[in-house]
Formats: sequence, C-alpha cells, structure tokens
Amino acid sequence: MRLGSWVLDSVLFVFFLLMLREGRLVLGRERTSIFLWGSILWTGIIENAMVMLGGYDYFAYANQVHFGGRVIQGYGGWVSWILFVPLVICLGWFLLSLPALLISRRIIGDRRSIWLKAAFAGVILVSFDMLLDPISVVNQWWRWTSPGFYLRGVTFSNYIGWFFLLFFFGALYERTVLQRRGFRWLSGLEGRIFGVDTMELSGLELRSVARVFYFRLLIFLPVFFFCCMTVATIVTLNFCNNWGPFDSVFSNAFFTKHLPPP
Amino acid sequence: MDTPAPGRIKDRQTALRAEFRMGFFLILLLAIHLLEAWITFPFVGHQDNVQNLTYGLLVTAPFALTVIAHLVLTRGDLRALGKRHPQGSPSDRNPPAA
Repeated sequence: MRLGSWVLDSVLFVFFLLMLREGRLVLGRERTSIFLWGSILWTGIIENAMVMLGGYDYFAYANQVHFGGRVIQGYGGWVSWILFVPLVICLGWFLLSLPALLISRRIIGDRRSIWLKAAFAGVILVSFDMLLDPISVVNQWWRWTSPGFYLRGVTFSNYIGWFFLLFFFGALYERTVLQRRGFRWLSGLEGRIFGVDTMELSGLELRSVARVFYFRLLIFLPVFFFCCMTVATIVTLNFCNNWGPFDSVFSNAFFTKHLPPP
Repeated sequence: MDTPAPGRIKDRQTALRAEFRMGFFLILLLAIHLLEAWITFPFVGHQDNVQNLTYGLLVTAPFALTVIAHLVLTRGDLRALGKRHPQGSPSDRNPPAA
C-alpha cells in the first residue's frame, strides 16, 4: 500500500505541535523557540545545500498529485516548502532532536561533556531514522540520487549526516543556551561582532544569547560539512554498491566525480 | 539543603511530567512508523512486510530502550519528588475545579 507524502506531513505536523508544547514546559518558551528557529536555520541550510548538490530530492510527487480528476500542476505533494525542502522535514527534525537531547541529558547526566551528550543524542536519532528512511524510500517521500553504500534503499551517508546534524547542533545549544558559556577559539571573533565577552553569557538577555547561538551555528556549518563529507566519502569510496537509484533534478557531479562510472 | 519553595516544586513537577509525555509521544511516533512499515510496500531487499517489522524492531531497539529508560527514570523522579514534598503533588494531580 502506498502511503502518500500527506501521511508524513500530517503525522509530523501533529507531533511537532505536541513536542513544542512539552518543550515549552520543560525548557521554557524562549529557550524552546531558540531551539526551533535554530533547527529551521540549521536543517534548512544543510538540507537545501544537499538537495542542490544532487544528494537527494523531494520532488517525486511533483505534477503527480490528482484532485477532482485533474493533476495539480507544480504541486510537490508537501504542504509547504523552504526553498527545495519541505517545511515538515525541518519541523520533524526539531520534534525528534529536542527530546533526544533532553533524554540524553537525563541518561548520561547533566554534568558530562556536551560532546558526549550530543553524540549519544545523535545515536538515538540515527536509530529512529533507520526505520523512517526505508519507509520514505519505498513511498518516494524522498529519493536518493547519489552514489554510496546502500542499505535497505538508503545510503549510509544519510545516517552519518543525521548523526553529525545533532552532534554539532546539540553541543552548541547546550553550551550556548543552557550553560551560557562559550568557546575560547571563537571568543575573539564573537567579542568583535557582539561587543561582549562571549565566554560568559549568563549576564545577557536570552534574545542576545539566541543571536550568539545562531552565529555559532553558521560558524559550525563548514565544520559539519567537512566532518560529514569526510566520513561519507571514505565509506563511499570503499563500500559503494549503488550509483544512485534515481537521477537528480540537480547535477550530482559533486558526488560522482571521484568515482569510476558504473 | 534549603527547602525549595512550593512554586519551584510545582514547576519541577510540571517539567518532569512534560518530559515524561515527550518520551511517551516518541514511543507513540515509533509505533506509528512501525505500523506504516507493516502496511506499506516491502523495503528494498525485503520480500514481505513481516521482514519490515522485524527490521524496524531491530534497528530502533537502541532508540526504544533509551526512551523507555528515560520514562522509568522520569517516573522515579516524579515519585521521589512527590514523597519528599507531598504537599506539592496532590494539588497538581487533582487541580481544584474552577
């Protein structure tokens, strides 16, 4: 039985609202909002970049959705988009990563390293995604278009990406918003931009802390891409078993140029 | 150790209950996806939907176990808080009618 993209849209929107409500009770309204806008910024940029590089796409439903016996021209099957990525993908990431981070804090312990807690949260998230992605592939909610080591129709690079997404985001959120501290190597640059000592943020309003957090997310984008691409490239070069089951709307030369053609 | 103010205990209980519900919603979301895996097409490399379900249960075991551990720990914290500050919890459980 085919499950249309509206199924995922509906389920994730409902659970997003539920998690948003609970998140506000646990972290407070402002800190949950910072997490939400940070999630949209972080995943919106990364997902769009990956789609434009030809890694995968969300366009399988484009010009295929019928209503009243007529094709809805241009409708991609998703309620709303952020450029080339459905909004629900970013909200879905939020609704999974917020509790994953809170659970990780409870299980690992509040006082442990931010990187350890973020890594544990990342592993939890990957475990969940290993079920979600194969369902998505058979229902064409999204299509993988890049070469790689494929497992149940999903490239292993996807799981590497999911891990690093929360690993960096979680650690930055914890350090900046929850602990209100900084990174020594960034403090000089941040001091010039924000005009305050960002090693100690407890005296700042949450609105200013949010700005520092979003700035740190942008600074860590290249770090994310470097780590993700390095590990994914090593896996692909050594274990590639599929050139990519679909042709990408965008050129996927970025992923294919280092591999011998099939 | 200072005795926390009743308002803070209530806040703590509210937060713990919200964390508990978060865990519950995650388990519910997992159950929905397992149902989807069962009723949809067989995954790539699978012959039938029972394989989907078995695969789903196996790969999400770390996720499910961690969330269950979280639920147990949160429940324990709620009970401990209720025992330490019994005056704070009954009114939360049975709020007075408006």
